[in-house]
Amino acid sequence: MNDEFSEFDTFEEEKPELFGPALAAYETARECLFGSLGIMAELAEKGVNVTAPDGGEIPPEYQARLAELEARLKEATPELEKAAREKNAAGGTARASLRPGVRV
Amino acid sequence: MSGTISGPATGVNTNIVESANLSLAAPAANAHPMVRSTGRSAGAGANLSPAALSANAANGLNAVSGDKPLSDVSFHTGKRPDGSKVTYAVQLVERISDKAKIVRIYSRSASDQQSGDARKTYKSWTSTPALLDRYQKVAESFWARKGISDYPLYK
Repeated sequence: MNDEFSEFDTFEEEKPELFGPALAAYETARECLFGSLGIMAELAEKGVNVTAPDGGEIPPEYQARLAELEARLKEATPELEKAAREKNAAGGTARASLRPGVRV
Repeated sequence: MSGTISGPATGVNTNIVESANLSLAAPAANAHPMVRSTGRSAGAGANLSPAALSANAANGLNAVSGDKPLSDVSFHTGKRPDGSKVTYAVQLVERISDKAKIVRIYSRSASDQQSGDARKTYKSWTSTPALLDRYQKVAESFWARKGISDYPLYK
């Protein structure tokens, strides 16, 4: 059944064609994603519910690490949004706003 | 609270990360994107969710890559062939350039992200019956909402 996968891709295959600050922001977003995944893995090992919306079960030391990552992502967000807008202006279809939980 | 996180509407137990499906409710229109993403208030000392942070970072990457997300980010854990554990995020996206629907997997491990190996590794992870069943239900729920019966993940 697994051979029925029609398409498969991984993050590393993306080629965003970004330069300068946009590329730096992109790399920051990557680091934040992987960093938060790492925190998630550590917490899951401890039996913590990592999907709690307010992170209520997450120990303070992990909250501090998450806060640092979030601050970095927040700082990178304007450049990410700018890069998406430029892609749109060039005929792309990137979303210009970093909105999660996209529903179509 | 500007958002919520809920599991898939399939009756699957989402209390463990193995099958957690992140779904962020519609945020306040005037909320900052980061506030919306983390589902928390902007007040000092508010807690963060690693799942929400991961999802927001993933969507940020999608934004600049030009890919259109077709699903929320879901999170899973699995075992590699050597028995080591791995936590990864999965999202269905549409690659606009060729209209392909793609299962994107985010993992910290570079070796997991090599194209060929990633597919092979993912197959081994999903060979675990329980995980395969859960992920399939998540996928089925998603494609059912889309009104698509011939979804590309499983046939």
